[in-house]
Amino acid sequence: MDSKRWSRTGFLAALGAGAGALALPADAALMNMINQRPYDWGTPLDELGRSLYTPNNIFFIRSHMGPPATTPADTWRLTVDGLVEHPLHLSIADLRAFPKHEVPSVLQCAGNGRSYYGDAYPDASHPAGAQWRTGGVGNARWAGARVRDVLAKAGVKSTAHFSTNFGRDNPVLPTTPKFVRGIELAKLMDEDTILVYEMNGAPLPYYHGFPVRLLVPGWAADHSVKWITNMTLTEKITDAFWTGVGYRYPNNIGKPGVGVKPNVEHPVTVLNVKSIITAPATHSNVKVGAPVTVNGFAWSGDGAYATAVDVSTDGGATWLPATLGESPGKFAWRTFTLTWTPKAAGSARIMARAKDNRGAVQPMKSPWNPGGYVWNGIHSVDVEVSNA
Amino acid sequence: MRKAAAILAVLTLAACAGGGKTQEATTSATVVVAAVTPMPASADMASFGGTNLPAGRELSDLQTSCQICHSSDMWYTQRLSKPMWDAEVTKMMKFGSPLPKNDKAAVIAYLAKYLGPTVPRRAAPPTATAPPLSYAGPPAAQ
Repeated sequence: MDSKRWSRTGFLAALGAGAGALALPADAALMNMINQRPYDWGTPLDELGRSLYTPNNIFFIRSHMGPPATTPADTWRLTVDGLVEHPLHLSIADLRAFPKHEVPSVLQCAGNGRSYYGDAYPDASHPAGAQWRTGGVGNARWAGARVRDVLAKAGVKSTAHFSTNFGRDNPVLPTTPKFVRGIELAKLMDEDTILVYEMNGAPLPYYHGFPVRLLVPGWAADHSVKWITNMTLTEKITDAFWTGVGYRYPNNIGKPGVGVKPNVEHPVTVLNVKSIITAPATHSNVKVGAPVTVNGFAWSGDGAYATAVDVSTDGGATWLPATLGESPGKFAWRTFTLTWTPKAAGSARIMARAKDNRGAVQPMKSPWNPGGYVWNGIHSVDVEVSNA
Repeated sequence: MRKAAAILAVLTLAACAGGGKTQEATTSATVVVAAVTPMPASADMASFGGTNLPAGRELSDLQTSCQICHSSDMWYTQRLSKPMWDAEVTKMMKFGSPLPKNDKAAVIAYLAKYLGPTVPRRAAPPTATAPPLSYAGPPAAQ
């Protein structure tokens, strides 16, 4: 993996005089490109493993359409309307006037791991979409105003049950549906659902939704609308494309490879229990008798959190409990670590299996679904053990 | 590979700029930089895509009708059945792809043939003795 990535200095040298005009959204040389355009860039495992909180410059970027034209912070407004007593048009200053709440939270693309469905169900049609592996996830400190505080100011009518949220993702063609997402009001009223203006202590970067994005912790990231400008409270959920057709999960799991109509599906919402191994790197070489530190992260969704991680170094034959790090909060991930001393030369498969406080355990493979969503199959890393 | 060559060209031009024709070399270097999409191919990408699609009307259709909105890796990385390709192409035309209606069936057949579920991804080299990962059943209980 490392050999395919440009060194940072080499990459910047190649850009030369053009660097100023190119304005890449991230430390491109450090990331894995899932799709070149629109930007779908994943964070490599070794980069994720460096810190509990994923730095802004290498946090994964998912784009349906391109980012919108630059919005100067002082002209941005959030319109809150629909089934409210007093529609609001909030500026950044207005939003900052509400109490600031920080939520450490995983943000994970609904399609993270989608490519693994192709591995797990090789004869069936692979689910269509950006072929993420492990890179469509990160952990950050998100800070902003609670949505419930904003909605309290607007005065929510009793007939309101959903919000239709609009993000300024910018399609190339006018016929491509805009990014309109419907969500249950109940989840918006959760104390940790926030309108974010700071990411890891810095102003929300442009490609992560500047000036303001939604954060719906514990749910798939499609709910966490970037470049948000409108929240319209409604009685029924919107049927706009990216809610009515996109991001849906079958009500009943069917045959792998077979499409399912949206009307017998429901929106993907909660994330599930999951873990990733950030060290050792896949295909790395280790020695018999030399201790190897197996590191990674574990989390869950819907307000549940990881409480145990078992690690196998023999392809799943036997498992040992790893040591968990402190949890920064129920929506964030926590570290796990286990020291393994290889005993025999050959290939070794390291696997990690997380369990959460509700008793959910990672499966070997998640149920095939046409969107390839919420993959949480056990992650494995193959290493080569050689004699000392 | 193409991207590597292009970036190499930029570096070569930059190196040559130290000689007599500084102005020209700098201008050429700037032009090349502007023309190159300065994003390295990732290891993941190399292992997923990399299929050489045969030239012909279907490929030109894909290149002209699909790359208006997204790069070619969006289709190179898929491995869909024919009905799923049909659904995707239909959706893309609703999104505004100018794929000619008369070419739709041929393009779907082409995608299903060259980017169907049995077409291998170019996999990262396996380790010497690693067995295939088994998804057959639950892991051994603790």
